[in-house]
Formats: sequence, C-alpha cells, structure tokens
Amino acid sequence: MKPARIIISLIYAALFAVFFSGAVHEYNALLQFVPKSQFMPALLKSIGGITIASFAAVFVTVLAALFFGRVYCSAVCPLGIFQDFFIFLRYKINPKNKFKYSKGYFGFHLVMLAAAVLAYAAGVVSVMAVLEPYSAASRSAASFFSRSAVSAGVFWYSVFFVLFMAAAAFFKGRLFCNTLCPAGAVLALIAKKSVYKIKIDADKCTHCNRCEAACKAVCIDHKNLKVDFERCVGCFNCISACKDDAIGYEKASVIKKDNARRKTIKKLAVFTAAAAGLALFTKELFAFKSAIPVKKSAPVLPPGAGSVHHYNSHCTACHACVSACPQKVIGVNMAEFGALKLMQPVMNYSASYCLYGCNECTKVCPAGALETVSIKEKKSVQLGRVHLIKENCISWSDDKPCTVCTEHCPTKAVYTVLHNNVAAPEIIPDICIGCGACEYVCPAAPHKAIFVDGLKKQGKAGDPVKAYRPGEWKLTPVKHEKTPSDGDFPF
Amino acid sequence: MNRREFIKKSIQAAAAAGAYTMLPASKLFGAVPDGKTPPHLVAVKNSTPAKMYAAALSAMGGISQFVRRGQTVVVKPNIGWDVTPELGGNTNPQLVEAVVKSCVDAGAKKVYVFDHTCDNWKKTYKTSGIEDAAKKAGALVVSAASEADYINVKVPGGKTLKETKVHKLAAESDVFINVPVLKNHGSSGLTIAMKNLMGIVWNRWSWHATGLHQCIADFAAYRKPDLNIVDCYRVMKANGPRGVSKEDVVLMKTLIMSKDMVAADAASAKIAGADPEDIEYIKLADAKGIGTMNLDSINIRRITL
Repeated sequence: MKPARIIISLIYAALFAVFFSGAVHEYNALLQFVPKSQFMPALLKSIGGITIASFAAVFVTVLAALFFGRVYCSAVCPLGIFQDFFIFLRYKINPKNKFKYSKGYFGFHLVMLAAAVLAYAAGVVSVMAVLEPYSAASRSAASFFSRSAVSAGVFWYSVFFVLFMAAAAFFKGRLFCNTLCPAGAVLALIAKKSVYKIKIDADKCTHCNRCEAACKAVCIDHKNLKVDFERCVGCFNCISACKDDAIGYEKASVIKKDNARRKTIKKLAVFTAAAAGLALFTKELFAFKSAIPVKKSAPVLPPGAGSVHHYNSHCTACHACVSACPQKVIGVNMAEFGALKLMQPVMNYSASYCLYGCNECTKVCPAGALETVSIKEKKSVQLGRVHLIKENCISWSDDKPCTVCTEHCPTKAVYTVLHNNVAAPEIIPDICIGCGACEYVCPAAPHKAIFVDGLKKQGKAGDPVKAYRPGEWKLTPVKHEKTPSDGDFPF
Repeated sequence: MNRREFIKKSIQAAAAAGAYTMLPASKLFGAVPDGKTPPHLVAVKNSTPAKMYAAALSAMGGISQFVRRGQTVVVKPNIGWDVTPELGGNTNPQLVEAVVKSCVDAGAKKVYVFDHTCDNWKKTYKTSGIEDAAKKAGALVVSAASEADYINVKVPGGKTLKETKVHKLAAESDVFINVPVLKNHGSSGLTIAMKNLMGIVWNRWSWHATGLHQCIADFAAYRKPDLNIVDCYRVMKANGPRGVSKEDVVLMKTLIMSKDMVAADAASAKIAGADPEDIEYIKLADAKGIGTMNLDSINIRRITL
C-alpha cells in the first residue's frame, strides 16, 4: 500500500508543480483537477452551492475516510506531501531518529476546527485561509513561482510558513495535521468511525517498535498495541516497516456485514444532513450581515466573483487563480478587505489588465469563490466601472494626443474625441467591463488619469456594438474621383 | 587530363555553378525579367491574400529582388491584439504564411516573425493565427516581450525621437520586410506601414506622451524596410486599433506593396476612404523625405485579379 500512496502523491506533486510553474497558459481538465480535488475548498464550495466537481471531491475523500481513514492527508494534500518530503529527509539523514508515540492533542484540534468553522460561518474566511492545508501550500507556491504582483507581506509570510512547515515536519512529523489543520480534524472525526482501521495483531506482534518508530503522526503505541486511528494520516509506513505482518487494516469492530453497510449509509446520511444544516446556518447568518462598507475605491474582484460578499465568504486564499492568470493581473495584498479577509486576491491594474478573451482564473477556483464564466459571458461581465480624471490626463490638460487608453479598451467604453483639436479620451461607464486595460496603460504619473473602481456586485455591461459614442473622432471620409487607371483603385 | 586535374576542374565547375545560382536574378538580367524598371508601388485587388501577394511580388520582379540565399530575414506583421483573424485586428495569417514561404523558398537562412504585442504575447500569437501560419511556412516565431532582446539605437535626424530601444533581430537582420494591416486607429487615425514599426520598439508608449505623429515620422528614418506589404484584405473601419466586433470590418480584398513606406501609407489610406493629408505622420514623413505621399508622381502598377 505504501508504494501506491507514494506513487499517487508523486503524481499529485508533479501536477501541482506544473500548475504553479507559471509555464502553463491553458488550464485543461487534468490541471484543473489539482485544486478541484482538494477536500476543504470543495467542502466549502458545496456548502455555498454544490457542483459536480465539488461534490465528487468531497464524496470521494469522505468515502475513503469512512472506509480507510485519512488517506487524503498523505496521497492528495499538497501540504502533507510537502511535509512527507522533509520527514523522508529526516529518515535519510539518520535512520535511527525514531518517532515516539504521543497522546496527541485531539481536543485542542477539535477546538481549532470549531474556531475555523465558526469564523467561517460568521463570514470570516481568514482562519480557514491561514490553516487550510491545500490553500496554504498553493498560496506559498504562487507567491514564489507565479511572478504576479504579490505583496511583500504575503511573500514573507509564505517564506516563513514554508520554512516553519519544513522544520516542523523534520522535527515533529505531522504535528500540524493533528493540531491545526481543519481538513485533518474533519477527516479525523470521520476516521474515528471508519469501517476499517489500522490495528496491531497481538498474536503476531514482537514489540520490535519498527511501526511506532516509522509513524510520523506519532499515533502508534506498540507497548499497548494501540493505534489512535483518528490521528493516522494513512501513509502506511508502519505496514511496510513491520517485519512480522502484525499491523494492517482490520474491521473496526466485529459486527455483521449488513450492519456495517447500514452503519456506513447512516454515517453518510448524518454527514449530508450536517453539511446541509451548516449550509442553512451559514446562509442564515450571511443574510443578517451587512456588506463591506462602500469605499470610493473598492477593490476590483476577479471575474466570476459575483459580489464582494460572495467572494469574501468563499475565497480560502489558495491563489490558484493567481497562478492560473496568464496576465498576472490577479495580485495579492495582505489585508485588502481588512484583517478579517486575509490574503484574498484582487485585480491589480498597476501590474497588468484582464484579457478580454480569457477565463482561466474562473476555471480553477476550487472553493467556488470564482464561479466558472464562459469567455462569451465574461465579455459582458462588468468587474468595475471606468472613471476619468481629466485634470490628470495629458490629452485633456497638456494637449498631447495620447489616447493610449482608447486603443486598449476592448469595448470602446473609452474612445477618442477632439479637444482643442487634440485627440483625447472620453468614457461611457455603462459599456465598461472593468478590465483595467486603460488604467494599466495610462502613462500619466504619479497618478493615473483613468482608473477602474470596484463594485460591490459585478454587473452586466451594455452592448458595445449598439452603443452611441457622442463626439467620437473619425477621419472624414473622402470621395475620390475615379482615376483613368486599370482597375477601380481610389488612386 | 589526369585524374587529379579532372577532380580539380570538376570542383571549380561545381563552385562556379553554385555561385551562379546564388546570384539574384536582377544581378544577371538587369532589373526585372521583362526588362522594365519595377513599379514604385503595386496595388492588387480581388483575390486571396496569398494570390494577391504572389501577383504583386511578380510585378516587383520576384522575391530575388529582396531576399538572397543565406540571408536572415525579419518578417514583421502587426500582431497587436488577442483577436481572431475575422476581426481584422492583426495582419492576415495567410499573407504572413505566403510572405514567409517566399523568403524560405528564396533560400533565406532564417526567417524570424515577431511583434511587440499589446496584449499577452503568447495568447496573441496563438489567437491571431499568425504563429501557426508562420511556423507552417518555416519561420522562427520568437518573443518580443522581453526588454533583454532590445538594443539602444540612434534615430537619425529625429526631431522628437532621438534614440530608442529596438528589437535586436530587427536591427541586425539582413532583410527587413514590413507586413502591416490597414486599420482604423483611435489615436493616429489609421495604422499602416510606418505605424507598424512601433512593434519593433520597446518603449513605444512614451511616444504617446511626447507626440505620437512626430515619433512615428522620426522612427521611419531609422531603418526603412526592404519591402512593405500592406494587408487590406479585411479592413477595420471603426473602433480601431483593437476593434469591438465584426461589424467594424469590411472585406476589401486588396493588397499594397512598395519599398516606400510613405507611398504605401498614402495609397492604403485612400483604400480606407481617408485622405492621406488628414494623417499627420504621413505628411511629416513626406516632408522629411522618407518617401513620397504624392501618388500622382510615382509609377503605380494596378492589378485586378
């Protein structure tokens, strides 16, 4: 079983590396699978609005946990795989450096889970964002490799986090997974009731301590022939380590077969009901919550975010969108929405702009913070609205025919008029999609003359083909008298 | 004749034959095959981009007038925007393919295709259809999105633009072929051949702030293309340079070819239904002596297919 776990985890690690390498420009189904198969974002997404992908991810992970415990933690979780690498190093450096059983901190772990869940229910995702293992790993990868505008705060936090996790894994094994990780806690609760559990066969065991020494979750007590299965991360190192075939999966309790099935079904039903209940509970709470206070410069959210409210309450700051964006326009600030909305990505129009015919970010979000939007739909989604400060504009105030903003506008919501016989930009915010191209290219310094202001709720932009652009500058068409030439050329 | 002598003579004969084939036709037969001097400008109508190109090229005396065996060639289309060919925002990919192919057939050592795109370069190369078309014809499609590929150059006689950073392939290649698309342009009126050269410049946006028309005219003196081929197949008549929808585009099935950028721009402007006099950079370039905008004074070959 251990080789199978290692192969799956290496495949995951490879896909993960490709995803965050920054070399990919089209996120196909295989790459989308990397974030979308992750347990916690999929669970949160299912609560907000279930999709086939999110249901499948939750279902498979929970089903696996119901039968075999927390196999997700070793095979799929990128942070788990990351830690395992350092645990592997620890073993390679000194094979005598053994792990030793500890009673663990399951109570504390549950308290941490409760804190994360309550905060989430209250609309504060940042606890989840900091602790959720996939998001933490993926965010760190994005900080290092996506070459996006990541704020120094997020970057240094990622540096700290990666070093901390490496050191913690090296010295303490999977301690994070059994004290802080919310995904680990949920799966631990399920694993407690698992149909099959790893057990030690008292008749075969020679008390050689190999299994306990190999257990990075420090949940095997060989002296008392005990395995704390809720803390087991399903790495199967113990099974390979045992020379006497004394440790392995066993039926959890001696019960009749149909009983076991009934029990499983019951567990699934309870789980579904609990999830539905949590969904109702959270929806109820959100309804009473007031939205983010209106600022003159609200941040612009990536496409598919829908509204500030929806986005803030779903995004776990995994930064898959940051990595997926070919334009590198999705940037990250430490606390753009205040301390309670840590590290959620927003559009950074000083770094780049949103490409008209691109929807890559909406394809990869595993938490449902960005819903999938087709390219056709995206072309009329209004992320924000354009504002023009004529006093800052070199065409309006310095008589230089710039209008580079009008060139880049894909809907000609920014178009050219004549001012003092000089080409100058004019705007129609109603047909603006808020892509930020105008803001990005505006050469006015130090303050831009044209910018996109964010919206509390992303709207629908008007039809650019039908729009009337008052005063639009056009070359005067010339009637050419026919030349006595061969062919009908106007010269 | 002994064996050694025979081998020596054979090698000499082979070398002579090789040298003969390497010389361009013009060097052997005078100007063009039919003995006439080539026209100053060729205008072709009514066919596919590739066929119009072939017709114009043969009127100009064939590709051997421009490309010789072993030379490096830069073919510079307009690949500005992440839009499909039907929107007329970039040079027609079939035209680029035909141009590249003729250069390859002429024995060019390497044919490079690139543009300093406005939108994301990888997406734009792909969506425009130009990357695939040029590669198919044997071109090396390279990036122009990194400042490291640009070198500082002086602009001779520049009034506003005195020096700038130019893509090193455009600066160093033996042959430079400009393949712009004719389209409406919100800032300059029309973008054609001279304006297309902004795509070999790194910091072209500063031109907007310092005076776009003067900079375009100034830069035209930097390196006059060996040949300009203006794609007027699908012409974007409004909402340029990016275009909003297909409704901005008119199918005109025309192609303009000239070694003179100013003449090419003047003729193309008329194709677009505009008066070249209304486009300042054409007037400025004419005044600087880059070329002539007076179409009555030049030898024009008009071909309707």
